[in-house]
Amino acid sequence: MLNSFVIANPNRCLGCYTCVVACSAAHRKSGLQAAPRLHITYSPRGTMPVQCRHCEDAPCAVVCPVNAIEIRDGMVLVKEQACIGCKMCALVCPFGAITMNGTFPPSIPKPAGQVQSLLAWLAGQKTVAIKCDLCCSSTDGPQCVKVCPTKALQLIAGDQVERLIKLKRISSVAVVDSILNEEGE
Amino acid sequence: MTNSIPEIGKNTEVIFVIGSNTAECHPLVARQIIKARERGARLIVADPRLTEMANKADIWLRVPAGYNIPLINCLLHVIIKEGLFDSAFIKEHTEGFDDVKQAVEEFTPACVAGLTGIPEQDLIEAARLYARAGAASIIYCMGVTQFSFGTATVVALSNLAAITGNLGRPGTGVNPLRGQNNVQGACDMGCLPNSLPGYLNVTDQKNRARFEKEWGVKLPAKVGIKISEVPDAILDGCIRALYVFGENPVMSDPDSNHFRHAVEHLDLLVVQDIFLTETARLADVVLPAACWGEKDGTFSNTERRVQRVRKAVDPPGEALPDWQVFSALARLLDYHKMNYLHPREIWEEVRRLVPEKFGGITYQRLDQERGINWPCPAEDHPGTPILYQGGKFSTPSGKAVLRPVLFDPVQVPGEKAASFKNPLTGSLSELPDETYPFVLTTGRRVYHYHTGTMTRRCEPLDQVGPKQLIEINPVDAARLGIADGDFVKLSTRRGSIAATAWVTERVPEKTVFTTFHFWEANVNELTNHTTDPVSGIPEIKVAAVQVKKISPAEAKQLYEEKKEKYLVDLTREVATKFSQGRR
Amino acid sequence: MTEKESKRVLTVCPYCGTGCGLYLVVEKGRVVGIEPDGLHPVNEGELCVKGYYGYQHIDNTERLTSPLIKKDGKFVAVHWEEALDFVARQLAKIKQESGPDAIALFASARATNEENYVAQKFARAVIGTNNVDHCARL
Ligand code: SF4
Repeated sequence: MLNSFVIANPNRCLGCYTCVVACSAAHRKSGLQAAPRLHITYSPRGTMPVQCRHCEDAPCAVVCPVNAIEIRDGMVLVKEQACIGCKMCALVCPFGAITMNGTFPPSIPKPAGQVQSLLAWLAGQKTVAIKCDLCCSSTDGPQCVKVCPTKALQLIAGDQVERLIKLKRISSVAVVDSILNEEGE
Repeated sequence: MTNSIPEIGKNTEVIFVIGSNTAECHPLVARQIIKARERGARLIVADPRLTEMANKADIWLRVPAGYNIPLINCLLHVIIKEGLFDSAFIKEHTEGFDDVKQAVEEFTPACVAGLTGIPEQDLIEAARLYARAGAASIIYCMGVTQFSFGTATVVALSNLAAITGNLGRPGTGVNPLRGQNNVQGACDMGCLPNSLPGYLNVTDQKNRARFEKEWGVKLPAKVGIKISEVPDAILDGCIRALYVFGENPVMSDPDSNHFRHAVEHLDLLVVQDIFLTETARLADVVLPAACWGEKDGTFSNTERRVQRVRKAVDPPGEALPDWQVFSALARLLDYHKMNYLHPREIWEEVRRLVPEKFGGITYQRLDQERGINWPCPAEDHPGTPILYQGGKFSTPSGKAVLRPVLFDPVQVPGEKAASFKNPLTGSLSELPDETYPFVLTTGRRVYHYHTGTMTRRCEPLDQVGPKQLIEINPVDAARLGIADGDFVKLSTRRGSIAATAWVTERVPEKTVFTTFHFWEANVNELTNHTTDPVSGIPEIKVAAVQVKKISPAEAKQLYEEKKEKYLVDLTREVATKFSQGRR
Repeated sequence: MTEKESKRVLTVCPYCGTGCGLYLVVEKGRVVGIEPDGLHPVNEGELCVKGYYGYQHIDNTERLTSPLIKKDGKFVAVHWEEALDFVARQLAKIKQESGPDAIALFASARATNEENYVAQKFARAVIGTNNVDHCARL
């Protein structure tokens, strides 16, 4: 079966960040890096969160020198503990879905008072590759999909892809048919 | 709002959004717009910025900040010229059409296109689309009101709705989106210098008598001072004491340096709040308040829906709900008709005093229904989601009064106005010049709220929006040598701030945008406090500004200055010394 | 209801004017999460980012927990009695010297209807001024 992935419909996306924060909160809760794994991307052509497509032949997994990225259970996953932060995966990803980030592991509290400062530097963090893991550690699926207020985000399961492709084939028959008929008239 | 929010998703055919970044500032209203679009409704957006709403619009009118009136008048012009108005509605339910017709005469598409840079054809298409809709709704926000001619602009919008008969029916209306959870309620409850609860004019003896009887005192008849006039009144020595609760004017009021300067001249500043806000740090007395989730009561949302808010947890330490503090103070000042035991008793008093609007809204009903839209005069009344049904207006004649609105960017069009009976005029109080060549406009981001007192203390939110960003167009950025992420300094005649540049097409050329969420770079140090003569709203949405690239070292220095200025460390100091919260 | 049990409390979002309905999830006397109200006609079971995640300020360690009075330029924690007494006396004094219109009150678009009603009643009936306004315009 093909890998599953989450994708956004830019016609519905409000750029409201609910998915981003839900992502961060879910991963923080399961003890992973709290950095969000999807990125609201504004462009004159539209706005939507961009995240991992869970490629079948994932270039990130191919380039990783320490095998920290594996394809398992229909997903492409980074083992954050194994990652050495070499950034190769982030560079080869054709979607910009991988970021390097070093938020604090939840076990180390943020120093008090450093809510924000212009030139803050935070000690004690480990920088690793951060990407979508379809919230595999939570029981009710990707949290971004769950909270999106306009239902712009959708989880496309592997078997669904094949069904969708079939539907496309059927509609393409109709298109050809209409073209031929027009010519015949 | 004249109509309710769910109508947008259900009934509206054409939505005209102007001066509202709905997707970021009212996401769940934007969701209704998306819903409407998916059922085939069309969307017109007028905004200088390429907001998410503009991005999804069928027609996006990129109006420069400050030029709403010519835009709206142009739509009126086209509608009148092409005979797309609703003549039956105009005849039966409005007065003043001829004056409006005459006033918009000069706002031809060609002329307005020249003034604003919006393509002529877009203006014409937008007018046709709006006017031909079976039900068209206007949605607006601070991008319409926060000008010295805010009232005039709103009147122009109501002209537009009235001449096309888009009032009093499902999915129509003129719908301001209220920025804060209970602005509507605070106005309804009479927290305005000219009106008692229920919008009863305070200068009318009859209205005062109604309250005097219940409250047992004689009430002052003179209209009070508006928020925007307070700083000058303090400096003139007219106001000596200021009591602020649940508000942070040092951050939220325009030209905040002026406000801060004024506050220093007070004999007494009392601030009642949940945190030691930027304003509270300047206070003589600070009183700890209970926050949302720690008290019972009601909020009224932007569609006049009165809803119950409930207590879930106890306030920390000795913090008290605001109403208890006022009651206690009243007792000390020898007034004994404010002894309430529960917010329900207060609400009962409101119902008694303003039965025509709130009489039918009881706590008991609110426990069963998801809010009731006022006016709701009786307990068996379902509430009123749609105002002006059947074209009945709350004017003496029962008709909607159309007023001509005139505009000239440089100078108030006084001469032209003189030829009308009841005109409103607009003109920008500050235009870009050689020293301040850019236009500055302001707003919010989705993940923060207002002055950030609450949202910046919510880690998940602060994480996605940790710092101030200044939006600047790529063309301008290239000319000034600014790259995305560089530090930029903005200066107006009133102050300077520095923050990170976000180089983006979201803003048009010669315009920059930023917010008032961050004390590190509070845009209200830059904004203008010239006000609208009718409503007193300040011209926050447009100011002339200078943009300069600065080095990280300079940015750091400015940051340190602001840190000192806003007494940032004081909050933590006080918290460590005195806090006895429940943690 | 004991402190240990968890409960859901139906209320309204405290941020923008949309007024979405939501539940506060309370555990051991603390708000630990938010759930949207599926029956609310405006938000229909959805919320935005502030609605879902804007509740942690309730438990923030910087919450004010006792009245403060500035003495010699420094804040000092005092009891309610002292603070209210001080405010009442100052207000009375200013009112006597300069009239009720020398006092102004900024009410709050963030507080409840009931609190705003009481605030303007305080300004009008107790102080005797119409100098009461709020940040509707900001
Ligand atoms: S959830 Fe979002 S849209 Fe709804 S009231 Fe709160 S801030 Fe506004």
